Order: sequence, then C-alpha cells, then structure tokens
Amino acid sequence: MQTAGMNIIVCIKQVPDTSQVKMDPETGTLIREGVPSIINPEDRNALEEAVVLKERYSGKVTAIAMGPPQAEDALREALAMGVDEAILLTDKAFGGADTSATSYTLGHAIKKLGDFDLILCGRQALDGNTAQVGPQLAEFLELPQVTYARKIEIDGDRLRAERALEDGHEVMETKLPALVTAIKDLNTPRIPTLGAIMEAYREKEVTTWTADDIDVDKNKIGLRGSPTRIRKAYPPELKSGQVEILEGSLNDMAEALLERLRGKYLL
Amino acid sequence: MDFVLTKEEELFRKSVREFAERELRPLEDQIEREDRIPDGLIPKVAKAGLFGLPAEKKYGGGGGRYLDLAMAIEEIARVSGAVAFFVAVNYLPIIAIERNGTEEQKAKFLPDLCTGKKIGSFSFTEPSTGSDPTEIYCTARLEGDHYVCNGRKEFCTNAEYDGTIILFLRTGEEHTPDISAFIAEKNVEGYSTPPPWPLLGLRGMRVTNIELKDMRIPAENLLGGKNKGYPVLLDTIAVGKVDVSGAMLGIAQRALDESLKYVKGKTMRGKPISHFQMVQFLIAEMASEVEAARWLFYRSMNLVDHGMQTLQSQAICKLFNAEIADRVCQKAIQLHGDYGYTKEFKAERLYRDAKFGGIVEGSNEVQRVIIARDILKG
Repeated sequence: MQTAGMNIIVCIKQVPDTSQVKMDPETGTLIREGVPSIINPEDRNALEEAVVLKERYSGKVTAIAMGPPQAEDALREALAMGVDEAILLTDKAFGGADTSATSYTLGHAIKKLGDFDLILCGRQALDGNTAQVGPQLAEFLELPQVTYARKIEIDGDRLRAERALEDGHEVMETKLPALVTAIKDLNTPRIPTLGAIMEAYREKEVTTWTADDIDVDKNKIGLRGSPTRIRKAYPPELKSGQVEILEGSLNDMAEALLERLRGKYLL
Repeated sequence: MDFVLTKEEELFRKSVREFAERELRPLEDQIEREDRIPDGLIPKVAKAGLFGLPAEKKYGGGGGRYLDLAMAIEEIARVSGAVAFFVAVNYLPIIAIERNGTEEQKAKFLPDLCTGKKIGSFSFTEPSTGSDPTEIYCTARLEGDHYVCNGRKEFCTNAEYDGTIILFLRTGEEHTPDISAFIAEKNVEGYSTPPPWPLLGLRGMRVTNIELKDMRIPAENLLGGKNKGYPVLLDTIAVGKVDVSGAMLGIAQRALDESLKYVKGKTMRGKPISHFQMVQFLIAEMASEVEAARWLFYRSMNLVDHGMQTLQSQAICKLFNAEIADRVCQKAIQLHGDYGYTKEFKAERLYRDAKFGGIVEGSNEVQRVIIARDILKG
C-alpha cells in the first residue's frame, strides 16, 4: 500500500432501474423512456467499500463511469457518497460497446490515472447481467482478481477476501494492487446526506474524458471494437402448466405428493 | 417560474425516500402496534442529517433550504406519519431560535437540536386556548436571574423526551397579549409530563400535557424579548405550519400508492378492478388532488426560502393539504371496500392519521379565519 493511504478506483455504470422497465414485445428492446436511471446496485456496494477503506486507511477514491453525458448523475451521487474524484468517459465513439470494448476503454482510462492499490467493481450490471467487465479489466491490466467478494480485509500490501459460492464461500488472498468485484452482501451502501449532496454538486468536479483523452485504438472501442452482436432479445415465454390441488389429511396429502414425485422420477 | 426539481434536489429526494424505505418501512407496523418510536430510530434519523436540514451549517444544520425540509417531511410521512410529525415538531424550536434568538442562544441550543442530541418541543396550547395569547395562563415570574414558571400546558408533541422546549408563558397582565417565549430544558425540576393522550391516529407520536411547578428558567433564555412572545409564535408558526402540510401530503400520497396497489391486484369478474371506470375516476381525482397539494406545498416552502411567506400563504397551504389528505384517504377506504375498513390494509390507518392535519397548529376553521381576515382587510 502506498504510504499516503489507499488509492482506490471504482468503476460504476449508470443503468435503468429495471424494476421499472418493461420490454417492447415487438422489438425485444427495453423501453427506457421515462424510466429513472440509477447507479448499478452492486456498483454502490463497490463504492461503499471503497469509501469505508478510505475512511479506515486514508487515501483517495476515484470513480469512473463510461456512458452518455447523463451518466454524470451517477458520478455526482458517487461523489455524494464520499468519492473524491470522478471521471466520465463519454464520447459517441464509445457507444454500443460490449464488455470487451468497455473493459478495454476503462483499462486505458485507469492507465492514464497512474498508480493505484485497488480497483473495485460491482459484480454485474442490472441491465446486462454478464459479470464480464470486472474480470476482463483485471486481465487487461494484468491484475490478480477476486470476484463475488462479500468481505474484504486489507493487511499491509495484501488483500484477503471472502468469495461467495453457491454453497459456501472461499477465502482468497492476494497482493495489491488487485481487482475485486462486489456483491450486495459486502455491505450496505450509505445514503448521502443533504450536506454531502450539496458538496457533490457545488464543490466537487466531474472530469470528462473523450476517446482522444485516453490512449486507445479507435478500432477497439464502441460498437466497432465489439465482437458481440445481439441477434435477438425477447422475454422468456411464460408456460402455463396444470395445477392440481391435493386434499385430505396432512398424511394423505404428503403421501400423494410423494407418489407423484416418484411417478415423475424426481425422487 | 421553474417547476422542475434540479438534479441536486432530485438526488436528495431519492435519498430520503431510500432512507424511509430502508429504515422506516420495516418499523411502521411496530410503531402502530406499540404506539412509540422504537429505540434506535432517532440516532438513525440524526445520522441521516434529517433534524437540521435548513439550519445554518455553523449551528450543526445541513445548510439547505426549506424546500429540502419539505421533501424530507413528505417522504418520511409517506411511510410513517408519526415519525414525520416527530421530526417536524423538532423543527419548531429550531425555527424559533434561528429566527428570533441571540447569537449566544443560537450557539448554545441549535447544535444539539440540529443533530438530534436533544429532541425539540414547542408549547403554546393551554386548556383554554390553542391560538389566543390573551387566554394564556401559565406564568413566568422573574426572581433574581431566573424566571419561576407555573401552570399547565396541553397537547405538546415530544414533551416527554429529554431535550429543549419553547414555552409561551405569561409575563404581563392577565387577558393581555403580553406573553413571552422561553427556551427551556425538559424534564428538569418543576417540569413533568403525565402519560400521553391516547390518540385517534398517528400512533407513535407522543402528545402529553406539561405540568409546571416552580420550574426555573434562566433569564437569559428569554427568546425575542419580554412580552414579545406572540410575534415569536406567529413568526415560527408561519414557517412551521407548512411542516403539517408536508406530512399531510406524504400521507395522501401513500393513500394513493396503496390504492393503486389494491385496484391493480383486486379482481372482479375476472379482471382487475382498475379496469372499471368508477375506480378510474376516483384514482384520477386522488392523483390530481395529491399533485395540487404537492406544488402548493413546494410553493409555500419556496416562499419561506425567499423570506416572502405570510400567515395567509401558509394558512392556505395548510388548510388545503389537510383537507386534501382527509379526502384522499377517505377515497382510499372507499376503493378498498370492506377491506378498507379493516386493519389489514393501510387505508384505515392513513385515514385516522390524516384527521390530525385539520386539527393541529390551528384547525381548518382557524385557517379559514386567518385567510378571510387577511383577504378582507384591504
């Protein structure tokens, strides 16, 4: 760890609040009109962890977001949560990026920022659910990575994290600098106070970088740099099945249920 | 004229909503059942910075505006009217001291009130009056460097919590408006509160009488000058009254939210009752009323931020929002049908909670008198 405390970078994404999004059945695309945008929920966990670590070890937290100009709102909220600096990567050339082009772009922006101790990302974005950008970014920057982190501890220049698995967790340890992706169990993100919000809007800055500001190959960013092509998006078809209601005493119903499960070779 | 919230205002509103959903929503039934604010909630409200929003930062406040306070009270009331009033009442001594206090008084009392270390109260009402200064009988008699206070105050919210209270006491001749405002500490010798009044609604809000028996208040705690209590009251209420409007707005919005949820889920003849025009008409009326109440309220708070509020402007807002809340909650019960009359659904609680708006800080009738007198005097 650097002597001046921890230098932490958090990658965040502004996403539509999918709890309020509907899908256009004709085109298969999300109807975003009138839907509020939010910081991707697990990115808020990453931000919270970064601010907690800064409060404990001192240092600096920088948030980076790639997106349209209105993604500045997400960065302002990050600033209100206690982030010190905010970088918005916005350029038409970045548009249509898949996870590969996104991590390539973020990686170059981070290289421009210089030395750091830790990169935190949310596990996955609400709108894409790929969980690829964090790991790809770690590969691009040749960093050790811990994904699905539900607990993080720092000990000198080492990081120990609990990584959630389906049926338990594993403890991983790595040397810093490293990249960690956060899940919601990591912490409870703070809610900014009025004073912090006022400070974020009136006293702090959001720096904007375009493709020309970072050292990128224009063929590797945005839609042009994205090998992924979406052929079709559609909501899963709802299959209606038959409902059978079992009746009788508790024992009779349990017996009948077991019989049916055996009949379907589920037991 | 700009009726669009700024990004900054939107983020603050979203933050208070998140606080209310995260911290208050899980407690709202407990508050109703136990008729008290659960331990541990007050420090959370304080940590969220919701006690001193418009007060100056140098006194521990948030340095914001009354519009911020408006949105906060609205969002809190949307989940719990009782907590909204608990928070709103705390602002009355803050407003009274910030607008009428000396520099020493502000420095001494505001930081603890703005950070929730002390819970604020504001007591004018007595058995004989809730608005007429000539009918105040509690007395404060100067003895050396202290005032000695006696009498009984009625219907004071948060009076039983430790903290700071503004007391309006007689310092002049009886049946004159010569009363004074005092800043006092609660629960000191000579100050006691009987058990709270059992209330129709807003369970969790604690309203008690106050017995003053030779309670001593330092003379330097006189607020706004001797016999100048009534102007302090009017000035504070002209600002503070809109808190009630905010709580009523939040309650009305919740009644609309609950109704929307119900009419979309409840089916009749195979389809949600929201498909029926009678239901749609009620929903449309409720939504229109809530929207009107919201912007009248924001406008009133905006007037305060510009120092342009008048008793009339605030009375109009308070009267309107109290009546809207009552009406919207009544419609919510109608939409819920039999279920609306049960305690299984929130409409019943909201209806009882909304009734308070037409009573507190000057009844609807008193507001009508204020508005009419002001308009007709020209």
